[in-house]
Amino acid sequence: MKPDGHHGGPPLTTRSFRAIGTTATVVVQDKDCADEAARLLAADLEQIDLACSRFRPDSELQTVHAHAGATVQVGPLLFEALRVAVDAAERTGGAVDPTIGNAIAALGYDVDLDEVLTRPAGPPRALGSVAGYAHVQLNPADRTVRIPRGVRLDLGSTAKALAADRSAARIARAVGSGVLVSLGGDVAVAGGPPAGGWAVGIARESSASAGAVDQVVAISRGGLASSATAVRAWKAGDREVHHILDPQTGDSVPIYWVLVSATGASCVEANVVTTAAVVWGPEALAKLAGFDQSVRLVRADGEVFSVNGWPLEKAA
Amino acid sequence: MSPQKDPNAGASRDQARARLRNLTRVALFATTGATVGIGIVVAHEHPGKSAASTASTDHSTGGATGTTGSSGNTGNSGSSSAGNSGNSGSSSFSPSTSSQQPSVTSGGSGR
Repeated sequence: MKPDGHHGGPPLTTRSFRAIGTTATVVVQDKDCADEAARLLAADLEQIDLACSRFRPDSELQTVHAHAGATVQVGPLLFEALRVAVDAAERTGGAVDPTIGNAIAALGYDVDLDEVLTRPAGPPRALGSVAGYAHVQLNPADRTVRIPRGVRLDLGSTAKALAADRSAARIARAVGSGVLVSLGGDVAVAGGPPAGGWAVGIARESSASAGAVDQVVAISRGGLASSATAVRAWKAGDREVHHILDPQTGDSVPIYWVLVSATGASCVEANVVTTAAVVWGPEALAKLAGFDQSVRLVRADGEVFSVNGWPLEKAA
Repeated sequence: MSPQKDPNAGASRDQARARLRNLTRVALFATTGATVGIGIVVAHEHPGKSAASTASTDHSTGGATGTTGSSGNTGNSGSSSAGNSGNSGSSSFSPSTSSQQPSVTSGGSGR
């Protein structure tokens, strides 16, 4: 257990562990609930992994891939993740598109990132424009999905955020007090917040220590997410590529923003905006006009932009 | 070919947004009239200047010029006096600055 403090209330208790290829963290206000909260989070993440992983051969998503071209009935969790992914695509005009599965695999991200980073670099291979989310047919009446033959999905952008939202809500209900869940920096909170809100550091890497963050902000509800282009990157031939793809090109987005953070009514909502902003590049500031969400963007040259009420940070 | 819709086409986006919120079971609070009216406020931060003097425009292009510099690790942990300078377009879920020690960090997740 690691007690956190400085918020004027009882010390917060944090538990972290590795899951779904990232660091999972749960923070609770009642230290007696920490074990149960961590257990619930681990169970939830196993479920989301089993439903949505594109790396596990036994995942339900792989069953959908194996039956591409046919209609497949899926479980409630995968169906919810698919709906969230398609909704995210609609909301962003296709900037965040779940049909990038083949494209990101062709760039070399076809196994867990730990393995990608340790094996010899393969040749870069951009496949061009992806099939597009409009070809993902969902039928809520019988909970079925149909994707075109040959198409593979990547739900990573939204499924992790969905998992954070679901787990935070479930844990808060189970333990009867406020909780924060972070999955690699995708943050969801539920239940009553501590005094002053949940403090979240903003940094280019989620692994940054508390004293090495660019800014500290507090949220009391909803979610906060960040997307970065400098991490979750790997070598493809002689060039560096990263995990955020432009569905129009099937290739890594040219780096204009190095870090985008946003808040929203949920972690999913925040995550969708941060990923889309990276894809939009220089056009992001204009496009964000249509979103009632606070966003902080760090450009490659280091300049910081604050949109829709993200608090300005005080320079040293 | 990736089907593209106009990202500013309000109807489909609003519908999608509503569904996202329902799916994640998070309460939706009313958007402030100011945000709707203003649309977007971009505050363009100039590294090395204080928050109080940071330029803020009511235009979406972020066209103010400034000195380019590193944004990384300025060592500031924020304070309540630094937030929202000139930013009248805050959203319903805007964060606030905090002087607390962060429980978690949000950024890129390499592993």
